[in-house]
Amino acid sequence: MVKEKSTSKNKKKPTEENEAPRIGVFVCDCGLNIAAVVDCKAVTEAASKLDDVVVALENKYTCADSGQEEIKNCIKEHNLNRVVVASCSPRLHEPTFRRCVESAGLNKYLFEMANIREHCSWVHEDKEKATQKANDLVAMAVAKARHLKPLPTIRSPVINKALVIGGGVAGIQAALDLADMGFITYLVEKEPSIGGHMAMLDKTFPTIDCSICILGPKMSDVGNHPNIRLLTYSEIDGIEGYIGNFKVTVRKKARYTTDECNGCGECWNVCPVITKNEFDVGLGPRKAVYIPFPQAVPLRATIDKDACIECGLCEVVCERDEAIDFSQEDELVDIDVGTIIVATGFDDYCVDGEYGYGRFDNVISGIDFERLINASGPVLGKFTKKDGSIPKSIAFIQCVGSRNKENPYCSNVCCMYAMKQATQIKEKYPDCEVYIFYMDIRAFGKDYEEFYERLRSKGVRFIRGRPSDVKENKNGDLVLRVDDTLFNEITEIAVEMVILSAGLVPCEDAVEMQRKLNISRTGDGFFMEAHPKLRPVDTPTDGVFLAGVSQGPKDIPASVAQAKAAASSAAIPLIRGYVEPDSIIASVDEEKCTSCGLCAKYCPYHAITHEKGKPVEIIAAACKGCGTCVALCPTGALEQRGFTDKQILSQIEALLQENPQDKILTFLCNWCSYGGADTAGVSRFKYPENTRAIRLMCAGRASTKFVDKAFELGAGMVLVSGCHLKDCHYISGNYNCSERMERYRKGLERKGIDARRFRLEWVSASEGAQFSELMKDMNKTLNQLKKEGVLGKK
Amino acid sequence: MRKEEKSIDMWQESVKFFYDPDKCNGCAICVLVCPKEAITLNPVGASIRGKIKESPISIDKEKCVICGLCAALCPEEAFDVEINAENRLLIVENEGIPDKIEFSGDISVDLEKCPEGCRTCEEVCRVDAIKIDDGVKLDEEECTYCGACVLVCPSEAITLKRTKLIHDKKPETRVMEKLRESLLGDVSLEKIIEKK
Repeated sequence: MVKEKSTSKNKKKPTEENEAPRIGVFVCDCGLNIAAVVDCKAVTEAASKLDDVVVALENKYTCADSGQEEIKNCIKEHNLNRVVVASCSPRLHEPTFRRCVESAGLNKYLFEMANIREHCSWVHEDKEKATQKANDLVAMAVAKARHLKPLPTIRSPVINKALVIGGGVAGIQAALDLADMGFITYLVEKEPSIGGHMAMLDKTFPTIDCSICILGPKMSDVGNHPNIRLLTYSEIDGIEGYIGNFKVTVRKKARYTTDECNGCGECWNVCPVITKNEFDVGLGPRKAVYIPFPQAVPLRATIDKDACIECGLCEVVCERDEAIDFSQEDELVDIDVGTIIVATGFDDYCVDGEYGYGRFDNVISGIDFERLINASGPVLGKFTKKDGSIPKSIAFIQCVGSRNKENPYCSNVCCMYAMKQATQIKEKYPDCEVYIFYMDIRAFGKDYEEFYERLRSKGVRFIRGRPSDVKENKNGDLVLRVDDTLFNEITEIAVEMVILSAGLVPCEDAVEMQRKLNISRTGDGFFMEAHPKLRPVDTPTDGVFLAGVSQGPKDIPASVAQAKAAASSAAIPLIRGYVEPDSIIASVDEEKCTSCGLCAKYCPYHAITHEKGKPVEIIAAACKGCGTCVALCPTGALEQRGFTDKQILSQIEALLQENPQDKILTFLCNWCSYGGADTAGVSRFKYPENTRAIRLMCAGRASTKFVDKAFELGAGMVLVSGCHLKDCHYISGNYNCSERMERYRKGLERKGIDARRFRLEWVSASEGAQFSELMKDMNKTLNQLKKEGVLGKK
Repeated sequence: MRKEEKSIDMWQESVKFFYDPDKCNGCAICVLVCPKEAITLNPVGASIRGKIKESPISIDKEKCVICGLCAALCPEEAFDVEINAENRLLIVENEGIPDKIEFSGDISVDLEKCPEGCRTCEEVCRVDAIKIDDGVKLDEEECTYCGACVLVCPSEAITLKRTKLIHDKKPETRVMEKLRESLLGDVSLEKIIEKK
């Protein structure tokens, strides 16, 4: 499966591994991003004095072409065999610099980074202390670099099929693009039909074109595409594997009809059970056997078992043999794919109870309006008040469920959809008075501002203010009380109808999906992209990409654009046919292995095979490089390449050379806690300068010997931190860490170490503020311990 | 007085389900036919004797889907289904079941077991098919074989067996099959409690 290719580069430098280290250090100013706080000149000078450092240089922008050229030249000129760059987070530019050193003929794993931007200049203000910290971080990186070893490149094949989860407009577009490129693409949709929210909309802004008229053809393209395997009324049961080789289990829910069904409709004509149609957001009926809407793809009936009484009338009228099958059960389908696109969309914010929704007949939501004005909706487009009369006045309330404490974000589309709906109302009932109560009008897209201006000229009144509530007066009219922030006065306006412009929220199953895919979510609950600017459709999990609102609120054109971007990103590994994952996998020293089998038992990926009496074996292709096995190996027979004990212990030593009792040493997992610290940096959440981070891939790699070493060298405090439990990027590494560290904590007092000096905390990649608070809190404890005389004696 | 038991309210359409405990004689045919097991029989004897004001049955509106089977089969017409304020039973209209279903059967009373002075069966019978005057008089012409008397008898003195469904048309639907299965045979309290 996996080829360890010995590259020509390796041949060129056969002695890389054994020859004395010749380290080059490159300190980046990042313009003023680093240089404004850290004295980069001093850091460069300090670096040049470190053992084995042959050359140390300061660049304005190390990642720029000129900066990279300088590194390459130095490698040749000074015959460097290790490179350290002190700049930003390795989560951002490690791949850039690895490519750079590789192109200069060095093995790409002979590179190490010191994060003096996100973890230093962006979070600290005291220049002297920040510079001191930067010095430490560089010394730490150099210490690790000294022990780096060239690693072979691992190459694993890619299954040239893709999976798209979610059949809204984003998922549809992504699936079509991948299928058009020639890849077999599975499209999994949980509802009986694809189409998503866009299929529910009447018209789209700003062109006022019919939504289903532009989506319908795309839907049928999906249904007819020879490369698309459409799985509707299906959910993702489980996902295993890694980029190039995902094993996905799809649960095809029993729909009690077969492919024989052609959606003729005889069955729902006779079905005696009426229930609410979810597609019409409950405003209209459907039968227990149904298709959600006339343009559904596939055009195949579904029997809702919760409503069905199995009377069998449908069977009697159905003219096709075997189209209805009451004996059906959920079916699990296994599919193998190389890459995955997540396009699971959103839920409409639940407006129940807001502004009298549910209490007053004529308070409706934006999506209610879409169904009511839609020609195939529950009232066939005859939009009226609930009693059937034509409304003389309507008010829109913006930002319902957005830009508040619960959901601080802007939902992006509500201003525009309200204005679109106002336009439709004005077209249908020109005499109807329309008010829009807004906080700020956000008309930022192409032709949106012009749309807003046109609407204003049609006499729609825009009132700036968020109404406090809606009450009913004696005439049955709805009275809105609002602080008009433009005129600075309290106003009351009575209208006959109110439409709540509800925001978009992450869909209910986002949490579950996050866990199944090992991806992250931002504070607002939407899926987190790998980088907000430069990797907007990637996730931290290789081979998993994002499209549409599941990543954050956006309009249709943006969703389609992102879908196309995700499709081309997802196609890259499929076209190339192989991936080269990080070589930071585990390896076994057969001499030391006592065949206890502990590692095999706890490996989250079953990547270790254990046969009693024989040394364990690592399956390179399955190992994801979390290092959990290494930390729990009782004999030290296991090592994680790129994160060896020797490397990490030397980092600890370097960091604690001076004033160790003043320092807070942190072990952070790459995916969550280290990312959380990066987020603190990006958001400029300040914290004390005495913290030092060592990056591990997973909290599971955090060995007690690291913490022991830190305390032995006199570290003031130590933190071990990983992803929140259940959110581990490596399935269960943090559980393992948690157990181990809790046990370790109990033994601390016996060793004469105050247990308050050790912390075990979970921080997600989006929790920058929490990370900063944690650092402040730990510093407070540190000061307290000093005051008590617990620290400082050593 | 009829009560609204469940309502499916949409924008301008609605499906409503009503039940009138005053009309109900607690025969539990509805319990037997309800495909969603949404109807359960309350303690019978007590309610019949008027000792506690409780309706003979309870309806779980979470489970009820307003299919109207109970309404179609209730011998006392204690249920109504209104679709958009019109009395309608789609299961009958769409010919899932015939609009009139009656039963033939056998009924007998074991006088030995019949407690003295007890007239519960007479009280519960709405068609006066059972009379207690110097022994028991049964009017098999009038009896609808609803089985209410069996369920209230304190000493299991009444044996009632429904032998056949009588109706004009004969739709070949699953539901007819199921009706025969659940309704035909001996009427017994155990069978009804089992349904729970």
